[in-house]
Amino acid sequence: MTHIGKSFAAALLLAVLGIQSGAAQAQCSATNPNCQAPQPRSGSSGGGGGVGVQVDVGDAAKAIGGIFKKKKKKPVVQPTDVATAPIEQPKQEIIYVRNPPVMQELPRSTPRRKVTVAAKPKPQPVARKPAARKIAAPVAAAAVVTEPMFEPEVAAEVPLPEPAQVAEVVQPETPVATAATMTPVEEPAAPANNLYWMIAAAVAALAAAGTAAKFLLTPKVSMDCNIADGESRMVSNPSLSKPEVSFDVVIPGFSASTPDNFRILA
Amino acid sequence: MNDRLELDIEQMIPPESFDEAAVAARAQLEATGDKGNAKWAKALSALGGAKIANAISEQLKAKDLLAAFAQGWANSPVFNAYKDQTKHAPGKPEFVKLGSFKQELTYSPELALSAAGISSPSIGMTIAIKAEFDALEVTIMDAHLTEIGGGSVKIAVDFKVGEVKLVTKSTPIEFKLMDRKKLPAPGIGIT
Repeated sequence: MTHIGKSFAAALLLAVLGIQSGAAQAQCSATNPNCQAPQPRSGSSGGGGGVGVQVDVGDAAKAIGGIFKKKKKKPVVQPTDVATAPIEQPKQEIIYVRNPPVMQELPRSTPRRKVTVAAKPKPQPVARKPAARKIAAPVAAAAVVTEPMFEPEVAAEVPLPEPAQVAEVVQPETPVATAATMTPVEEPAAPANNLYWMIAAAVAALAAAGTAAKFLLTPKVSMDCNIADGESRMVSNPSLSKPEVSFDVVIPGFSASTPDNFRILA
Repeated sequence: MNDRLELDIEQMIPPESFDEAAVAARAQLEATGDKGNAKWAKALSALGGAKIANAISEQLKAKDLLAAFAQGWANSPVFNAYKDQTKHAPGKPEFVKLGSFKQELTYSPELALSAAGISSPSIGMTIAIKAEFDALEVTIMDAHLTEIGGGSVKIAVDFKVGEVKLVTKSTPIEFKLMDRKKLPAPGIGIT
């Protein structure tokens, strides 16, 4: 039944009821003055005089709709007694592993313990690959460890510096000329090397001349006195670049004169 | 005062004289006309007089000056009579007191430089110790001077480098010989 149909039926029913009520009221007032006619129900403006019953179709429809329409009942939450409430048991879940982990690798000295893992009901072949993996894995790991992380540097490929030029020292006639007569073994090919050796030779010559001048002109002699029996030796302590100069004072003997006016008193 | 008659030459010769000694020694080397000696002369100038004085003084402190003087006494004819064993019994010490007398003791220090195994010519110096003894007493036994004791001595010094005489303190230093000094056995023989 449609909504319009429902409204129409409700209006018709109310109209019938209002007529009956009006008639009863009229009948009551006519026969028995004490008689009270039934009061119209709330929500309706009719009820008086048996005529002119007004029916609110909307209210009637609501009322009738409540008949046809089943009201949904909200679930009433009852307070639960915690003490008496049943404990919900967790569901047991079985996890099926497609490739169950292999047995734990233990040292050979340790007795192996078999670890059982729930496997899929589907039967697996006994001699499966994990056995082979179990053995191969440590070997591979060891191989990784022993392999060098990177290629070591090859020392032979490192360019070594050229050895220093060896200078031959020509035996000098005097110590003064030692530094000035130093000559290189190999003739330098490049002009820059020529210049280098020229400068080096000049510096060496100047150094030799300076050393000689220091020695000959102003030797700085710092001396310690070392007294021996009948000999005094003064040794200088110059720096390494200066020759060591020492001097000796020796008193070999003496001469005592014959006393003058020498006489014995008693 | 000690019995060894230690002489501090630096107290008797002023430092300037040792500086002059270095200069004189340098001149002595240069006077030879040798090139090598000229180099040594230049090196000698760096030594300074103080170092030369110190070296000579240390040398003289090691000397027994009183014994050296006694060598001259033993050569004197005054003691010749003590060699006669008939007059002087062997093993019996005799004590002799001497009158005041003057004596000179001469030392000849030699100075030489050396470097790298090469030595310079030695430079001769002369230190003449002039002594004036008074009231000195000696012990004679077996024709030997065995002990020296008592008396006093005044010391003056002359200092020369080569033939160059250098200035010294004119005032002599007096030493009192309080203790008897025993000469090394058997003593100094009378000649």
